[in-house]
Amino acid sequence: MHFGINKISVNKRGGGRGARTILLSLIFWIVQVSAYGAVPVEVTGKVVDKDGSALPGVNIQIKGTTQGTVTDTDGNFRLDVADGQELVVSFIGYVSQQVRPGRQSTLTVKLETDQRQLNEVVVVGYGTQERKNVIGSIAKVDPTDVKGIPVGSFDAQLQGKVPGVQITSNTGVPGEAVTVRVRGATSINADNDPLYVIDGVFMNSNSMQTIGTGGKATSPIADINPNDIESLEVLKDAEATALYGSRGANGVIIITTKRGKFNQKAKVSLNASYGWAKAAKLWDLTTGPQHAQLVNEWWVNTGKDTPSLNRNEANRPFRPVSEGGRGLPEEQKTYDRLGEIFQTAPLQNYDLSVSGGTASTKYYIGGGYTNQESILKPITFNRASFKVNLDQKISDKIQIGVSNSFARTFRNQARAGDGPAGGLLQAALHTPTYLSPTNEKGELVGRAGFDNVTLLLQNYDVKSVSLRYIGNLYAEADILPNLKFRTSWGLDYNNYDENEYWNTFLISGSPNGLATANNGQATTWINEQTLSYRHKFGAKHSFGILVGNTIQSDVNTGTTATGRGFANNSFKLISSAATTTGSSSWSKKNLASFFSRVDYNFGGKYLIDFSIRADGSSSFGADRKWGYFPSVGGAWRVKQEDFLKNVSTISDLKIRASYGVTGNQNGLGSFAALGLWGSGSSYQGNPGIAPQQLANPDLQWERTNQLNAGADITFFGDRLGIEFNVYRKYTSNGLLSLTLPATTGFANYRSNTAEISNKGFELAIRSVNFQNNTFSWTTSFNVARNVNKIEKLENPLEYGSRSLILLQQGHPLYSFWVYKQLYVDPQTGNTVYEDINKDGKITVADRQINGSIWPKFFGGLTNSVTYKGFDINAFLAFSYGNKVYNHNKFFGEGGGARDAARVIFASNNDRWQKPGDITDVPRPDGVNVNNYRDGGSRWLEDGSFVRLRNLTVGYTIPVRHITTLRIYATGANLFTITKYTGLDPESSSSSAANEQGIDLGTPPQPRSFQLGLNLTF
Amino acid sequence: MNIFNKIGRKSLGWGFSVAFALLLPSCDSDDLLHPVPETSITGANAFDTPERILGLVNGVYKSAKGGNFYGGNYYTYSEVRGEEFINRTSNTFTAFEAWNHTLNASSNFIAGFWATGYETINNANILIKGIGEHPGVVSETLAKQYVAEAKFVRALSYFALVTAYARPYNEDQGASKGLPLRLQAETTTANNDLKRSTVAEIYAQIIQDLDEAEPGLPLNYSTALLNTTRAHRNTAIALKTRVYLNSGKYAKVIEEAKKIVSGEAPFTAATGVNHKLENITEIFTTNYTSSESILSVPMTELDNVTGQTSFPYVINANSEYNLNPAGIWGDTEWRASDLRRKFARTASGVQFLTKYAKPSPFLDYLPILRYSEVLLNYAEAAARTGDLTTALALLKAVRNRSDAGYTFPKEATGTRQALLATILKERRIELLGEGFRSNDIVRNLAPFPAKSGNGLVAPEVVPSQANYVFPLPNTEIVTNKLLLAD
Repeated sequence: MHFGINKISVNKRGGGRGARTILLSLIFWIVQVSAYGAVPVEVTGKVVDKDGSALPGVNIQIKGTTQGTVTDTDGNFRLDVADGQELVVSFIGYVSQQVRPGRQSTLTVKLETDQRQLNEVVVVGYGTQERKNVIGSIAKVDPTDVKGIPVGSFDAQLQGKVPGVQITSNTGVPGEAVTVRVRGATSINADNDPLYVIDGVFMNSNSMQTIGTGGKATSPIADINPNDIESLEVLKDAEATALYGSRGANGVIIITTKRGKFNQKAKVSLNASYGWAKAAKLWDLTTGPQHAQLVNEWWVNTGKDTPSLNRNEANRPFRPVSEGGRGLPEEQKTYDRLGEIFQTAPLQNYDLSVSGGTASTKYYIGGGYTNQESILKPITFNRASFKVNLDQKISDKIQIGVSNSFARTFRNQARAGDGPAGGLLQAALHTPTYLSPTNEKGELVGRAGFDNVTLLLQNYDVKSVSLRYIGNLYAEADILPNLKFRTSWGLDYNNYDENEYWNTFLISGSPNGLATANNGQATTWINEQTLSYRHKFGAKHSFGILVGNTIQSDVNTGTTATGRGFANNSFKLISSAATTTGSSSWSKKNLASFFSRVDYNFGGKYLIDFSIRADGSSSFGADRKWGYFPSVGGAWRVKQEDFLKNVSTISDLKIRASYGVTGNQNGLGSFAALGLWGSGSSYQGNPGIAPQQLANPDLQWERTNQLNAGADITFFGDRLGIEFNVYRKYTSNGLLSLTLPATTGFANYRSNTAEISNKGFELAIRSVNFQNNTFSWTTSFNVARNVNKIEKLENPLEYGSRSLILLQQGHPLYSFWVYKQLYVDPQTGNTVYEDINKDGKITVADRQINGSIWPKFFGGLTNSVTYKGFDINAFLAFSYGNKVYNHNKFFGEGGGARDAARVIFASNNDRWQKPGDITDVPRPDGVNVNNYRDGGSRWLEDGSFVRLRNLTVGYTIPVRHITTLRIYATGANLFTITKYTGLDPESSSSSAANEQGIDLGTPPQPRSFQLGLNLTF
Repeated sequence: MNIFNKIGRKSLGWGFSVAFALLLPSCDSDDLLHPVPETSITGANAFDTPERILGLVNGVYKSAKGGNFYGGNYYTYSEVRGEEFINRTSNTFTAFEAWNHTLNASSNFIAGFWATGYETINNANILIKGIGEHPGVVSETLAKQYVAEAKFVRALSYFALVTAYARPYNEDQGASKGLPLRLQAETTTANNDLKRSTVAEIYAQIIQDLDEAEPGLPLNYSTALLNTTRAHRNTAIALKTRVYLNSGKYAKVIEEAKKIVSGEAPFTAATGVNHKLENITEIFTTNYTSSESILSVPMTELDNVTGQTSFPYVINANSEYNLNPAGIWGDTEWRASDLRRKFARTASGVQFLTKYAKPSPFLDYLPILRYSEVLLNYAEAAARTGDLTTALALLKAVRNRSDAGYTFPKEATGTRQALLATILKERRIELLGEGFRSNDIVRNLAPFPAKSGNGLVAPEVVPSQANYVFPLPNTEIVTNKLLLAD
């Protein structure tokens, strides 16, 4: 194939197709066959990426030959090419291009990022791999298209994007913790949150909030600016997480932040957006007259039920004032408090970054500011962040670098829901609408035991500031050509400062004011060494080994001071209080680990690897400190077999399987195995000591065995890709705070007695539906199912308000425990509950498990369309089969019995009123008597939903000298289709792991609209 | 960079390798995997010093001061079961279920009170055992005193539990099943299962503990504060009058009462702390450690009970219960001039008890044993055994302290039956809001009267009903396999 021709020019101008191309091709063909023995000509060129940055190390090969070269550090190359020969330009992570050098002496090749998964670079535990060689179940997420969702932390933006990762944003307060579960939940008393690793630092993801905001807690993940994130990998199966050993059972989320590139001129990038958020709907409440009518009805009903009460129409509460009553129902006014407390909230976000590099240095410097007000006044969240990543080649064998993230996160906090004092929604939602916000003297007063809304908004003063540094220093050395050593030191430091002040206008501040200040510091340092070696034997055998160790230490300290009794409301600082108290806390937890991975690849066809990690934790019993977590995985690239090589419809096929053990100790106290006698039991000012915790010298790791099998298949030249995984996780030695007979003097005991299983599958489909130069349309869809089950739990455990959640063997975690309402008797108007033990009475024995928070399946659907400069991205998330307890409605459907103590929802208007009425809302009677029983199933609702999480429309304006100028509009949560009658089926009023799915006083996720600008030059 | 270049690549590589190797063995050092807690000690050295033992003694009292026990909820739940208060909030967390008699085996307080009671008992057991096993750390006298204090607190706890969770002693002379009787210190999970002893056996143990405590306890302490917050000899005697009264052993009530009540008015204690009736207003407002307050729960800025667990919060500050106009508050013989009527405020047309009027953080001491109770115990026992003169004298002492000019009408004191009724009524006035009403109903096998107000209704509960006493907590039922075995 050594063709050579005399100079024939070929113009490769883009878009030059059509008749001319055919003509040229024809000429070409003629020339090719006629010409012979031509002399090679030197071709020079440059390879750049789509932003115009030079790409060093790109492989240039003359097609069909072994001749070739590699671009230098400036992306330039020089090669002798015979006329008519084609160049194949290829680089990992980019689409290979074939170029025929033309008349120009200098050739510029622009490589597009490879959208095909096969050659995608995937971050795995302590390394990277090409997608085609990945054995484990790892999902790589591109966070760009969900950045428009206005939440504080990136994890909340990922809902529906990753198959098998269930993310529930259970509040509309930006920067509050969301629930993230990778392949279900494995533990009752250890954490179920995944491990977050940011640039090699194990991130502290436990909230440092100490002040009460009604069950919710701030998210430490919100200290990370989503814009600094380059890529996210979610490691799901045991093969992928094995190297994280004791930390891996709940999955690992690896965050890689942006870095510069060697030999790239400075690239400046600016993103700015501004927008508004608003509640999509609010609760529908009774008017004053409707409320009064219900109270009267309840009054008369209870009089009929219990004649001794002497209640009848004549002495009903809402009768004419002249008769001593509170006035007739129709004379009652209606006061709107919700309108006062909800707002259209402004959102703004600005990011500016500069990145680039020289031959030996690369840098990324970024700054960001975001300010998000909540739709619920006066809550705000803002974050200012600064990032510097530097990498320096000391020689061609040694490289050092640093990653630094600084963030200051400020929050104006408030108790959204539960708790009478300071509760915004208790005051605004749960106060009866007929009650005036002022008393006879015209002064603002709280009603129903709650604060006054106006006074709350004027006087709320709860603030927190999180100062966060996450940094890493590494050095890498190529000791031998195939032997690489890396050491790194990481630090995650969080200084968390909280101040709350309650003045005398508020219940909490009664009578003379209350101020609390808390300062917490969480310090995690981690040191790691890894040594990796790779060797190829002959043409087909590739062998790699990695060994490493890490040492980690977490120290948490806290100092709290409280002041009570201020001379007047002008004094706010604790030092000016009449009485002050203080306390402090300290804890430490250490982890030492060794790990190794050995992999073997035969001819790119058969891949196998073994990993093991040993972890020693200070939390466990003296002889149980070390845990060993092995895994094995294998993959068969079937496409590489002869019988598939020529099947053109199938572009790739790989079958994978893995099995391994990972552990969990998250959330376990530092001294959990020790018998402790605490010194906090002071009595009358004198120090006191009392036993605190029973020793359990056998306390050990929670172990999760996981079996994963999967297949990756792509069709039609990667136009259609399917990834399928099926898994089974079984957790034994589950950490459980075992309830003891209280007569022993101890309430519980840390044990390893629970067993939990998770089984499921995940399916992800990607499709390029249409693609040409001006128009493209891609779709990606994912769906997952996880079946969770408590396999072993000696005694059921009750959780949540009014024991709404029960953990019981044979049922999923977080099952709802309710009295099942069968119907409302059309004759009597009374609720008929299922009487399980048939004793004729409804007792606690008739409570039953009825559904759980777990969906039957969940996932997301993304469609992206580009047409010339326009881009449209629409993203739907869905969940099916999960239940949610509408606790707001339980309180709000009290049917008049709570009278002036609680609001009544408009749904109570559909109550039974006369024989023959068919409804599921019974007639009003007493509180928690029969019809309005705590834990009734009437308020347990289907929480299935389909939600348009994000819709973005953008237009890229072509401007000279500017790489990118794009303007866009983005909307989040534009619609939600659900049968749930509350505001948001994802609402949950508590951040506690075992108390999910109870919706009480939670602001919904807002509907938002933003306009933005991306500028790169 | 120069340094790196000088060292050279090869040696740098070796340097890393050596550093790596060095780090490996250091990982299993004691420091790293055995950090020492700084806010706790381990059981092995808890009895090493006199200070630690004193700390454990304080720890025993502190556990009795737990939020679900004498720190707060014990008062709330004992009071609102009776007829003196009307609920206003139907809030389960502030004893609505106790008020309307719907407490069940899963109710928070049912489990919480039980747990705190037994935690206190176990802490006492641990102290008794530990002092025995570590002789010589404190003086013999002090060792005896600490053991006596532990036995006193154990007796107090068992009495609170047996009168709440078991059938009344007077119903069948204590023949029914009572509580598991834990006398052994538990520091492991080896003895989780234990069957119930009978009510009579529990009472016998309480009396035995108090009899054994009495000689070991000091006659008095160095300060009035300690005299009110730690048990001394008269404290044990005072509690015995209550325990004997509850089990119908009236002669024993009189025998014990005579030890600390003089023969004639003004009644005082001749030995030990010189108890007498003091200024009724001051003992609840300014003078918590007077001689009248035999034992009270101390509250300080640094150590108090607030929120829904706090009795003063529920009963006064948060206005969750008003005084029942149909209860003792409505009694016409309780005159407006009586100083005890001043412990109330009016709001929304009803009255709220202000015996503990201090606002959050609620620093009023909560009384456990008051001298006036001892006088009324004595009076009742005297009346029941026919000594109407003594009974009347004691009754008058209590009444006239607060309402000096009052004379009891003849028909209220003339017969044994009438006098007894009047004494019982005086208890309702004198001890209102001090946690007595529920037990006074139960020990007399009287029904809990129906009550209503604020749109809420609580039915009558007669002794034959299961909810006449507290149910056993579900947590204990499912974890203690022997609890219901027989």
